[in-house]
Amino acid sequence: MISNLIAGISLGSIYAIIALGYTMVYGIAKMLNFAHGDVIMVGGYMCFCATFYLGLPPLAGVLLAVVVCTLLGVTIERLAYKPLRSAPALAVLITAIGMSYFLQNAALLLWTANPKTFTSIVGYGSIQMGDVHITHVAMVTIAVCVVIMVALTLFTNKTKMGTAMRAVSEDKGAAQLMGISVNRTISLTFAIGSGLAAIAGVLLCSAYPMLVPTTGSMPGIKAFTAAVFGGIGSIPGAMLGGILLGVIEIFSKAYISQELSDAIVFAVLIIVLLVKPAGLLGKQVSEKV
Amino acid sequence: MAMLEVKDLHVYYGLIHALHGISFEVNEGEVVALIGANGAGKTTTLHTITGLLQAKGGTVVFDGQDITRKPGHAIVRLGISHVPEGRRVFSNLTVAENLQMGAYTRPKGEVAGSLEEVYEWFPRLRERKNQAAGTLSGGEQQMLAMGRAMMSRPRILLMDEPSMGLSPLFVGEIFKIIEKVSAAGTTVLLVEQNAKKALSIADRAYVLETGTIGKSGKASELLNDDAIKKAYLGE
Ligand SMILES: Nc1ncnc2c1ncn2[C@@H]1O[C@H](COP(=O)(O)OP(=O)(O)O)[C@@H](O)[C@H]1O
Ligand SMILES: [Mg+2]
Repeated sequence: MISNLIAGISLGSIYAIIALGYTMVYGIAKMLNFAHGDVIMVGGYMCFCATFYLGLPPLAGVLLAVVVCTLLGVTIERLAYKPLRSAPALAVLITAIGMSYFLQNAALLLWTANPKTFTSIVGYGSIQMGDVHITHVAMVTIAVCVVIMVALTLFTNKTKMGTAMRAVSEDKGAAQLMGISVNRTISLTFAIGSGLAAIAGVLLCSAYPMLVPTTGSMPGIKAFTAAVFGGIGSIPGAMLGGILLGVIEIFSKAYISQELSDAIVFAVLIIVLLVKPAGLLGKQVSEKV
Repeated sequence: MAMLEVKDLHVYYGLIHALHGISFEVNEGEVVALIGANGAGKTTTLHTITGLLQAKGGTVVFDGQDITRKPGHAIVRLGISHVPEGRRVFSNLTVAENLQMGAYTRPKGEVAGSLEEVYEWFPRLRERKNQAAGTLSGGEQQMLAMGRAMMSRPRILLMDEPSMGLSPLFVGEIFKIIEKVSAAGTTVLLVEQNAKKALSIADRAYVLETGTIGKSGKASELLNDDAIKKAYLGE
């Protein structure tokens, strides 16, 4: 029971970190970046390459993954989304889906469809306390998630850049009148979201070591679900949604059905959205005219 | 040379031709009113000056520098501050955070002093500094929008219908503050539908009629102009 809870929180922490990227980008750029899940996969491969082919220490692998994904996220925004800044939402959505397939196919070309076996960056140890069993990966994942949450909350609430980000998410025109560069703020958001995706990728692959070009898809969709569950655009919502989703998923797997667990997760989402259409912590705001 | 010169400005919304080549100027130290009916193009004019809209033709010159194609976020650094129509305060940010955003372009060390100044101008804002801006009344939000614009220490303040939707008490207060801002040395370009009020504090005025400048002149003369009285002063 407690082991499952911790496993659920750990999986949920990964979803939460990914969901932060979705929710921040949505909050600022008002778009769903469906390529976000595939940035996770790129992060996984980067860390894999650094440690397996180059023989670098795990921490260097994480660093490389973060740097590459941050640049990748900013580049994707510049090349694919920025030209569509005033295009209809549907055009942007389709572009994002296209970008997702592009990244998957590029990975297929570079690394083939043969699964790579990722070596956990913190090894495979675990601790046993009575009948509670916790892996090192789970402990590190939860700790990293807590650090990210605290850091991001402080950043958005206490710093000038963070306040400017909140201003842009509310009213781009008024923010621009203050002298805030909307383009730079959007780039920064993509940079943060993609850097976090790299970390999520490394943690994910440490827990589930099979790495293929579609590795990011399912966690990406689950994390997007988590972001909606918590209230898209809300940072605490993404954290809460992610962790709840992870816990629900692990508990359904353990106590109800291995096969139906995803269906149960989505059923819970639908029920929550029926009761609270804006998500758990989402603000009920009417669209501005 | 005028501080702000708008020359032959053409602005479109898609195919809609909103400004048909308007020209006007504002000299240092003046209060200039831009009046006109709803839909005449007053907001469009201000948006084009501060880069929220791009002109198709014509120029905006500030202090001898052509700023027509300057990116919007760079304009406030030149000393032009814009209080937009409908106030547009950041409702999820606190009053203090809104004011800090107003000083976004200024060095960190100078912000506290300006904040103190704005709180002296608007004591109500100090009382509510930790409150979310969205919880303020309309008049308080207008004060916040003005205070926020003053935080950049502008040389010219553009104001778009500051009296819109306010009770007469607040309107009087806002206009008093505009006069104080002007007396303190800030140039003012005031857009108003409340023409009587605007003309009573302005030095000069321009009348905008569906995208073109109609009459212009001394505010005191326009106040006594029969056609203006009929069309805009409800007399
Ligand atoms: N976003 C927009 N899209 C299309 N037309 C617009 C838009 N904003 C304003 N207009 C049109 O441009 C003209 C001028 O509008 P505006 O500058 O808002 O007038 P004012 O501020 O004087 O009331 C009006 O005819 C208005 O319908
Ligand atoms: Mg207007």
